[in-house]
Amino acid sequence: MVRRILAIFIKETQDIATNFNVSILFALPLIFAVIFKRLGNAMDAPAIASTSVLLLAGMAGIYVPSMLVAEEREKRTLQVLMLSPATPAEVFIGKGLMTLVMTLLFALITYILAGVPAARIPVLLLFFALGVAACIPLGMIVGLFAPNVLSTGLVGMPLYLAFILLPPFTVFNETLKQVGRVLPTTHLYYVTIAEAGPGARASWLLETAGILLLMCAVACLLLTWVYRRRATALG
Amino acid sequence: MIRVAGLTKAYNKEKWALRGISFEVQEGEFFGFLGPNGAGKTTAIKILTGQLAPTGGEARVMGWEPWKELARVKPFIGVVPDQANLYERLTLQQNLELYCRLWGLDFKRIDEVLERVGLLKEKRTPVKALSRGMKQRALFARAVLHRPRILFLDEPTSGLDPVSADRIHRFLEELNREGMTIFLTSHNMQEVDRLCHRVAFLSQGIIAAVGAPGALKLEHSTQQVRVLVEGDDGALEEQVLALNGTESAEKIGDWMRRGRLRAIHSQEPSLAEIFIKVTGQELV
Repeated sequence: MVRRILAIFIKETQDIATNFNVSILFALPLIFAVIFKRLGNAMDAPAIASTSVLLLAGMAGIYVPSMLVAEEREKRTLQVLMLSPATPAEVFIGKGLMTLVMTLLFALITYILAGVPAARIPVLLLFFALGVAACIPLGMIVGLFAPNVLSTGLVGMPLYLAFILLPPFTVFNETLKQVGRVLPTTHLYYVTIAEAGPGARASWLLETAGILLLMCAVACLLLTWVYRRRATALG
Repeated sequence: MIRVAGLTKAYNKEKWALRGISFEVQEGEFFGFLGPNGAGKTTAIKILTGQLAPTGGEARVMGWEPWKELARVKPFIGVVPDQANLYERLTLQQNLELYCRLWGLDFKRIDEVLERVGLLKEKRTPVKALSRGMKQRALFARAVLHRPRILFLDEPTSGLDPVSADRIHRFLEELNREGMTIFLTSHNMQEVDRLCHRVAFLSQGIIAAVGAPGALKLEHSTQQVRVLVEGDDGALEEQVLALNGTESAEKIGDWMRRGRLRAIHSQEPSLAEIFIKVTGQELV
């Protein structure tokens, strides 16, 4: 199983180097972080870090897996992969792992660029990994519904917008707050603000980690359910 | 190797792709499914390779039902789909490395298969830079990488130029001589005629006839010969005679003795003509 997941991971890593559409999605949040940093005192480290990782989680964490899955469907390469020893779970895990590793790498650079204290970075990366791990299966679900790569933008638009734009506005309105609670990016956003700044209570961090873990499990179950329902349509 | 009995597949209440087909394919056999577009050929391949579940009937590959026991069947089958579905941005080598890793094979196998399909020099070329014929040969390389015992081919030479198609035909003949069982679907009757030991005519989800191409031709032959004879004035005259019979034997013998016979052709129908005769449909 590990060998096959690694095979998919290596293939995705090789592919990303020549896939401009995907690599730009990883790079854009970093570019924004540089721009935010150049604004001078207008944005502090927590603001730069939280906004940038929100973009990274939304754009790379959801959009990239949706494109990867949609392309496999569009080019009918998924069909042949399913005839290899790889199981659907291994294919999805391999793709998700590549997205996770790449986003973590870009998140690390973002935290450093934003000026987050070095001691806080490991905790922030852990929360980022949990948040993105909950986003990736949802992106893959978008990919299972989109007939081709081009349409992933349209099919997933409500999801991308909600995951990226909603978290900062949850403080303004009770309804938005309630909706925001079910989004992993909201938890990721507020953990980043707290941990990149003054720091947060351990109990709250533990509670947030638990929520993100639960969201991750629910997203994986949802992906499994959707894939099984759509397996015939994908053939 | 393959056993199909009363196989049906309906996509909805009105659309039946297969309406109860039955056939068997023996080990080492080159079996062809000849039929026009929409006859149910791809549906049959998808069921036999575990990509689709049938509506009814039975289909077994190596004794297993593929859609139920795909993990058991996978190591024994190779599939060449009707579309070149390779990773276009990756090189040929990277494409095959993925499948080597998945099957747990040594990378040396890549050179072996690429040499056999004549693509060793293109190993480091991105797939998107390969010609259509090369991509098709690359699909064969991928399909035989894990040394399957049965190769399923869905319209493997569709849209290829005659030189590329011939190269693929020779490769398939070689694989079959080595003992590989091959299941081919095609609407190209010359291809089926050249390659297949036995052929099934599929039309509107029904098998209209099964047999060896030669036997089918004899069965539907008009039992006549067409001869070209040189007359006394030197002009060529065409005559159609019964294949057997004293009158034909005497006439042909006489022309041969006098050195007047220029050509003699048996009047067996082509597979396309037989297909039209038994199904009432053209192979389009």
